Amino acid sequence: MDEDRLVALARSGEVPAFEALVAEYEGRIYNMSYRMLGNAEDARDAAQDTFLKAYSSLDRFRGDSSFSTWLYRIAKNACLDMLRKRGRGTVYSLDEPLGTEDGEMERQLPGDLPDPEDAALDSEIREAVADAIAGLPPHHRAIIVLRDIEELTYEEIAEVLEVELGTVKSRLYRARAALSRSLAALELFRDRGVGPGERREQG
Amino acid sequence: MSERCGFQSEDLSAYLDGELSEAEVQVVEAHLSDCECCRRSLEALRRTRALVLSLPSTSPPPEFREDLREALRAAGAPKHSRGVRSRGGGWHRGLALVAASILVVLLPMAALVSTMMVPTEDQFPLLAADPPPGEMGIMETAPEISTEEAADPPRDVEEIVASETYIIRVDDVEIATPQARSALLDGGGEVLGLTRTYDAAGYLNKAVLVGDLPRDAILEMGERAQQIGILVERRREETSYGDPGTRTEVILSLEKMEHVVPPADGDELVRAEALRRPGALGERIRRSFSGSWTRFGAGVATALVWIAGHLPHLAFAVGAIILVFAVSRRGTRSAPPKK
Ligand SMILES: [Zn+2]
Repeated sequence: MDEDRLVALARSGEVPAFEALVAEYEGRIYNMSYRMLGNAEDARDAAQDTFLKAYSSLDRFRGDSSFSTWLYRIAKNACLDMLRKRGRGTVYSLDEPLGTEDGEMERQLPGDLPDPEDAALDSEIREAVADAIAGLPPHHRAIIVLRDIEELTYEEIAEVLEVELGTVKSRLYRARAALSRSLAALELFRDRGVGPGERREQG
Repeated sequence: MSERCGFQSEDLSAYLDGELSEAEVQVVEAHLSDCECCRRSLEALRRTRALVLSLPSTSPPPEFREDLREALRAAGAPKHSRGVRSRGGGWHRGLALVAASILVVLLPMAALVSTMMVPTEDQFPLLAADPPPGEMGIMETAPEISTEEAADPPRDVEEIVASETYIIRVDDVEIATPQARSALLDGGGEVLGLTRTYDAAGYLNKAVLVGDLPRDAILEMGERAQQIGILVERRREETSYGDPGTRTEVILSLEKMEHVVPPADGDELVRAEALRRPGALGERIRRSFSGSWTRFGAGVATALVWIAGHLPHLAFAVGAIILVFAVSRRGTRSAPPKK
């Protein structure tokens, strides 16, 4: 049965139709929550909240975005809410113009990250990456998770985050730059990194 | 070594994602071919992205769906309707009929009354009452939505997903206020509240408009804000997870160019008006005004609005209690003691 029909049935109060939608999305929503929140317990709560909230507001789903985008949006909000409840939610000022105190943003990104294709990643590295994501400000976390874990397009991300396309582009860049710096700062990666001397091609 | 080439680094990240147009791709590739710095940045971005991609996918615990089903049930997901089996006669049946008719007749009436009772602009002198000196200078800073409230959003109010605050310096607050109002209206928004702050000499030196916009319309709000005065700050705050698809709260804080700092003893007047929109009204007033007097006024208004908004429910509750009473009486009657 196609999704629109399931959504329509669920809206009319057919619980099994809603359960079919849950079955379809629970993995993605849970995984997203897990990477946003960094632990299984909060991830489960946020995912539960997401589906409960979706169920109760199904009648307000107007279909001007796809069901999955709509659901991701609820999930994103549930995660941000969870972070806030955990007391880590400070107000972050978003998307301030590129620039630091000294006037310009560091343009140079670190070159000493391991190449995931070269080295078989051990669990230690994975954990470090997950921790580094969890250490980003929530909005950076959200955009990285939506793009690189959930693999949404920029357009879908714009809808989920309710921002312009240009903002998706710049925020994603900032989030990645921040992540690459915090990864490079980890001791773990120091010795594995590919130094600038090992560049391959030369133009 | 790190020479700044001035290239848009965002484009490198978008290039990686295949989110650039063909023309843009050509520009990026041409630049990459002779910029070592950008090649390195691209490689760092590529590795960062690949590290994230390499994270294993996690799955919900096995009991997830059953827990959810429970939670849905607890939250009142519709099940097969039970229906009240009322076959017996007697007075309790009559009472049930009375209850039913109360529900049928009173509900529409209550609804009607509640729409009539929605406060209008004229009724707001209540809130506009001048606060006594003492608790003043409170409005010196823009009203902010505290995170505690945001953490536990009221469920019966149309929920606001995000809040945007614009601090705008203006030459004349009086002139700027209607401009700000129309900036909201032009975007398809509504104005829900207005707070004016006067300095010791009685001059208006600040106005704070609270309103909302459809979430798409927020994109142009920055531009509209710049037409009112000098936009000195724009803040966005996610406030709650609400109905995804609703509106963004907008707070426009208009401040006189040379902002007069109120004297320490606070001889400042704060006037508040609140406009239309029943459901959100009480809540908004409560959230956006501080100061004990305005808070008291807002409390009263909130209570009134709540009562007005819930008349149908109250009527329903009365009807339901009578109905339950009737049914339970029938239950005790129909099981006569065997003696
Ligand atoms: Zn360059």
